[in-house]
Order: sequence, then structure tokens, then C-alpha cells
Amino acid sequence: MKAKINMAVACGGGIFTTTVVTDKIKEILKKEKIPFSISPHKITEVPNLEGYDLIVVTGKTNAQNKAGAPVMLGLPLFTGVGADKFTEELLAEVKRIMAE
Amino acid sequence: MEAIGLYTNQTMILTDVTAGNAEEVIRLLAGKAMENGLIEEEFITAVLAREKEYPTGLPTAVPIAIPHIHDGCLKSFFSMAVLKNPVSFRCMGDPDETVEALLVFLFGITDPSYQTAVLKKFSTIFQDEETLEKLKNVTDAEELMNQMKGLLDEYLVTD
Repeated sequence: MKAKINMAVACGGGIFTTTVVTDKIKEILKKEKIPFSISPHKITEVPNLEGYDLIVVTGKTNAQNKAGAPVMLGLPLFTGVGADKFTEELLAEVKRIMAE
Repeated sequence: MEAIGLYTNQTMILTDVTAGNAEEVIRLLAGKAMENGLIEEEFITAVLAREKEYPTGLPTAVPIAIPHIHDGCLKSFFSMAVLKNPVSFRCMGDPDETVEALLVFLFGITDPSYQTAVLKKFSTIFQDEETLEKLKNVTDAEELMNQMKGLLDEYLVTD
């Protein structure tokens, strides 16, 4: 069992979508009362990020995290298209990781 | 520290724009930002390079593109173009796909942590079909400026 989820959010420039998606994820996790920490990054950093339980990216990438954190495509939180479905998937993944 | 909000003015809010491709739209809007002293030359090179590697087309209700970067940006701003004919942009979610964008918003952001609220405000605009439909049909640039003032309220900084 983990006490909190440690997440990274990454987009191409680390500016616009990262800022908005990070904020949305904070709202979702707060609502579910799940303790978290979350940091913005660039997609190019994804392979070498360390110490994260889960990484959400806003652009498609084939990059895998060498430290083994799962990578999810979270663009729906930015465009709103498919946002509910993604929120469900995100929460399922977060709960799975927390239960480890 | 600069104010919260994005600068714009009428010279950067364009309607009825004809462009052959994504680069032309980006160069047009970035050129306006340059004339207004908001960016350095580096911005244009960086934003075009970024669009190639990490494109910014979005399959929203009305397809849009949101090129943006902080390199070479002197003051946070946004500019926009309503296109006469759709222009292909590759998708942020999957660069192998394209959208036929009808609206292009170009942003320069000096410090994103400072602009969280305004970027969120923009994302709500992109998520609202009715708003995008309304914007894409505007043919008068002054009218477009008024619409954006109404949508962004205190987050729009102008002269």
C-alpha cells in the first residue's frame, strides 16, 4: 500500500497542456481524497524520469519510462473529448498502483 | 513579475485569413507579435521547430491549432486567426493524424506557473462547441476582438 501517488505530467513544450492537465488531475485526485504529488515535465524527459508511480503525457509518445512507471495519454483532459472515460481509467490506474 | 493575463491587440486578432499551410499561419501570427515587440526572432524558429516535433492540432468540436512556446518570448501574449479555408495541422495526440484547423491561436508564455488560470480559461473555450462555432464564423476582426474580450474578461490584457 502506498500513502500517496507520485505523478508526472509531460507535454511537448511543458507549458500549455501540462499546466491545464496538471490542474485537472489535481482536481480529480482532491475530489477522490487521494493524497498526491505532481510535477510538470517535457515529453523528452519521460524515459529518464525517476521516482514516479505514474506518468501522464499529452502527446503520443513511444517512449517508455526506464524506471518502469506506466505512461498514459491524457489529452482528453485538455480537449474535453473523452474526458470522463479518461478520468475513470486514470482513477482505476491510480487505485491499482496505490494498492500495490 | 508580469501581470497575470495575456496581452493582445487588434493587430494580432485576424479574420478571413488565407494560408496554404500551417507554417504560413504561424509565420503570419508570429510576424504580428514581432511587430508588437513581444518576441525575438528565436521565438519563430523555436515555435516552428516545436510544431514539427510536437504538433499542436486538436480534434476539438471545431478543429483548432494552438502553437505556443516560451523561447524568445518577451511578454506573454496570444494572437489568433480565423481561417477562410481550413489548414492541415498534425495532431498533438497523434502526429500521424491531421486536423483541418479553422481557428489558430498562437501563444507566447514567459512563465506558465504564473498563467495557470488564463490557460485554464482558454481550455474551457476550446472545450465549448458553441463558442468555437461562433468564433469560426466571425468575419469582422473588431467583432472577433470583442468576442475574445467577452470570453477572457480580466485575463485579456490590452493597451
